[in-house]
Amino acid sequence: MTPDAPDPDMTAAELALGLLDGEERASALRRVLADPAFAREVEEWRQRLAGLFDDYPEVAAPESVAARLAQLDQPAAPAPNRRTRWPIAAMVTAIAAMLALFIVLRPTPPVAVAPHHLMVASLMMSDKSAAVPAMVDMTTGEMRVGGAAMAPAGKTAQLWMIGGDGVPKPMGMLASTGPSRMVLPMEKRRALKAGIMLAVSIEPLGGSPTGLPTGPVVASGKLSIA
Amino acid sequence: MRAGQEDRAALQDVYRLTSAKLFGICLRICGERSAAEDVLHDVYITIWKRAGAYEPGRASPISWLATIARNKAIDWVRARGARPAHPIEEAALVADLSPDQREIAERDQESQRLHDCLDALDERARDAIRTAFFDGVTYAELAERENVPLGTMKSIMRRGLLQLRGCVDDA
Repeated sequence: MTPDAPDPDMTAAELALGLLDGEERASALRRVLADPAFAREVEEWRQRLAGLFDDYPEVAAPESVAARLAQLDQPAAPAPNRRTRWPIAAMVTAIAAMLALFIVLRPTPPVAVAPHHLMVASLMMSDKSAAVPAMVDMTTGEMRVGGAAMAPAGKTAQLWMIGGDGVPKPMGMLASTGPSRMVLPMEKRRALKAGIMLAVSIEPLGGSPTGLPTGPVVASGKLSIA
Repeated sequence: MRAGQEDRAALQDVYRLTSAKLFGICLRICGERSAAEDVLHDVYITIWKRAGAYEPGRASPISWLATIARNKAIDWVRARGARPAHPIEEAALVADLSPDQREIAERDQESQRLHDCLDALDERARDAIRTAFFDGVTYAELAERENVPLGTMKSIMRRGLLQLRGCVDDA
């Protein structure tokens, strides 16, 4: 690019960074509302730059803030116009669980370990009563699913993945109580990517006799990169 | 009331796991401790009220929380109209942002790629992007700090961002 060429249009990045003010900012915000492609670009820039959050130094937060938060009342009822509004309880719990898994699995210094590539999902119960966190360490194939009593006595909860072909593939049985842990073979691991649906169905003890879900689906959620 | 107690316990967990990072962000951008505390409180109230807006497919939970903290802190600074005359009181504000070995070891692949791509930019563009991100400043403030005309600042920034996008998306 020659010095005389006009500047490239980087408005989405400028908005994501917070560089704009006044009318320029107002105009970019209006564009977010009016132009879904532009809105997506802004979101992509947020994600592209998110790695810089790593460089902010941590500073111990004051206890007084934690104490004030402990006094909170239940949030008001969710706005009715949100299509995919999840119950607050479930979501805060899921975020807490994901963060816990995330932090536990970070390599501890000074051992230099290849970064563990994690995939996570929140499996929303079909009755919306809770969200169960699920996590796969793509490096080791270890999969963990948070504890939730999903299956009635005499039945078992079976985990499935549903990819682009729409055909459910069995991943394993969930423990009847407490969290589940399983190791996925390489072949299954390779098929996992962001956007794949995980689902739990209720099956006879020992798992579905047909290789496909036979009972009701009680929880599901999409996999994403942590 | 049991569900409410569980919620509060979960929020406390989120606070315990994330508040040091989010407070670091608020302090850096606000430039003073009491304001950073108020903003931090506001951040967790927002998370509490808007947990339902979190979409697992779109970002990691830490990035989602950090983005809320950064935006709230920027809002606070801009609502007040001016930055403090003597912002450098806190260790975090003068801290060198160059990461230590431990932080580098903890970076995931995407973060590492972003850092590599930033390193590949020329120094002025890299500094401009990093300052804009960490301090949450506008073009006008950035131009003043760097002592260059506004148009020059925008040009450096835009060309740097274009190059950065090409590098990050290409890898």
